[in-house]
Amino acid sequence: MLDAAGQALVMLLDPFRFGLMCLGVAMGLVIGILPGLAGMVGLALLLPFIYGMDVHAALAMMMGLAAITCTSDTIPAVLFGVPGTTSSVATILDGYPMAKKGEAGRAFGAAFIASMIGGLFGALILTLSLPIARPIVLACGSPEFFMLCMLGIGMVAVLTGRRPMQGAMAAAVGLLLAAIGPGPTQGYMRYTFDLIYLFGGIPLVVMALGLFALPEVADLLIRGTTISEVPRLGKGFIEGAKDVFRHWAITLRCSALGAYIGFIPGLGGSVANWLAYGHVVQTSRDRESFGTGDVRGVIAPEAANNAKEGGALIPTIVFGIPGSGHMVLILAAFLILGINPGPEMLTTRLDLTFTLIWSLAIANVLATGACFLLSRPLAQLTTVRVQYWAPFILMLVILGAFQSTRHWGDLIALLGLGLFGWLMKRQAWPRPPLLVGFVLGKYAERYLYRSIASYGAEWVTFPGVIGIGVFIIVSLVMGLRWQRQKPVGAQAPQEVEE
Amino acid sequence: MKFRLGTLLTVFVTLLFGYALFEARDFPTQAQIYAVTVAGTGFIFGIITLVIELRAKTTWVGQEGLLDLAPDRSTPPAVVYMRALRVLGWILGLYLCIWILGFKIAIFLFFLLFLKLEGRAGWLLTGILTAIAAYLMVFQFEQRLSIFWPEGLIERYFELPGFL
Repeated sequence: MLDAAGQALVMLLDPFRFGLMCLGVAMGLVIGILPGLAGMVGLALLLPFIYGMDVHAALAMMMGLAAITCTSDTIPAVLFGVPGTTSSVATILDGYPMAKKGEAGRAFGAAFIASMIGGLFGALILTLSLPIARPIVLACGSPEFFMLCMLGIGMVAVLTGRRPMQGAMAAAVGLLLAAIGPGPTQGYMRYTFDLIYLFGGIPLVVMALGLFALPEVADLLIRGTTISEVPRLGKGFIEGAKDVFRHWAITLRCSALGAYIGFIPGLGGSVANWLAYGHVVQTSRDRESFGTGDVRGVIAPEAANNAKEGGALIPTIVFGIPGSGHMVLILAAFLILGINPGPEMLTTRLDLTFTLIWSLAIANVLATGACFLLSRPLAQLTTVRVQYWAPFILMLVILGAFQSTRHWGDLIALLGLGLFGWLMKRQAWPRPPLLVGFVLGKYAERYLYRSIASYGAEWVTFPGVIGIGVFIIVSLVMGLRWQRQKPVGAQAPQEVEE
Repeated sequence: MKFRLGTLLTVFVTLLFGYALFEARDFPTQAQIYAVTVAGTGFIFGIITLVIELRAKTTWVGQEGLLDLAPDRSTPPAVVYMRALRVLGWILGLYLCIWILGFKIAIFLFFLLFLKLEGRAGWLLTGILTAIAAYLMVFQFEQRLSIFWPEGLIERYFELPGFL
């Protein structure tokens, strides 16, 4: 194994291959910053160019792009409250308030270093787990995956604290919206009203941009001021970087959580960052400052969403099951390059596996450096009048949403969801449960049906199912109890006549 | 019993679940289970929430325990909703222009009008920012990233210059 690792590193450091990896990093940087243009867009753009390319070079370039989008998507999330990709939505909750307080630099410092450590940790987890990956993935079946979806939804319900009913309703709305389109078992079209656009369901990118991006732009235009209410850019990157090491336990725990989430096929970055955020809130004693600009609320999701890439590579390499949206395209690259995922990736082609691991690790470091260089000039934007840059954000959001299906339905859904998201925010309904319910709804239904079809009612007695179920109940009870004793967030309830 | 504006949202969502339940009655059994479970649960939650909200003495609008971005409460609600309608008007106007003129021309016009009318920017700044947007659209998005634009009616029926 060490020989293969060394061989892969030497090959990757070849100027041509390294240059291609840097090209992937540069593309990923741009893609991550632009709202709605997920890493999958960039990876899809690269696919035509890898035909006939050296295998190691092609993989390095693809991984370079995939690794960095989870780092650069923090930039619009912190500066404008607009998610660069669906993996950066949770970062907005504390990153954006930090920018408003004039601490954008600190948020970036914390986010980029946490991302780098998370990415490196994910690569490390991938390396260490190669010998044991196969039996672990085989041990989890549809019942366990269903329970993990319930865990994700339950965690977010706890996050809503003193508004559990609104949080539960928001989650239910998300689950209901996930039912639009073909059912997972018979393919029966539900809630489509014979509209072709809805035959594929509502795209996740449109959901994320509509719920979070449009309401933030609207609120800023309504307020009519700059984002930063403090006329300076804040304490700086070094302070944020130190925060990551001050909260090293959070960084490592959330990196591990992200790697594990990535390991589970299909859950992806949009779940990893929320679970990490929920975890850090639940396990912190002093939680009043979450949601108002607490740097821990930036460190946790950023560490997790980078670590998940390493975790997602495990089922992709070992089973040919894509662990995330990015991995679908990495798998497509495998096929184009003539690589067969499976046991040979752990035996005769171990050098390719290590090329992926080294690319992931090195690209994360390069990404951090590139983002540090770019973020200071971009942070200046928080002191510019919102009317000057809001048109750019609107243009990018509309463009990003349209890339989902290239149908006018994307724009109409974006506006409808934007209106709904703004009203939710205005009436203090939590939006995160809706998005998590939407993401997990399809998987939950699919796993539930498979469990019933395969095992009848017996699946509820499986040890893994019971274990995860007990964990969910304990987490919910303890979380709700803690919320009542010591609520999260800084502001007290106010009586407002509207 | 007090009726607040926020209650309208609860009513809307509850009705949404009720309608989803009603629609689901025609689904085949396997497709129905999930839809009925989610919509039914949501409907029950909605009724409970409505009762709680109508009986509540205060409106809870703080950020406590919310874990979402807090709305701005410094501006009076009436002003907020008027400005929100204005923003909605701008977005609807942009959509209408995209539909008729196509994305590139619509964005160009939007930048000009928005910066002048809302931003009260001078012509020089308006020109510079619009030029930056045009550069991004044509040279970066279109040529480098092969981004697709929403097409307008005018593009379908008339031959436009290549850069448009």
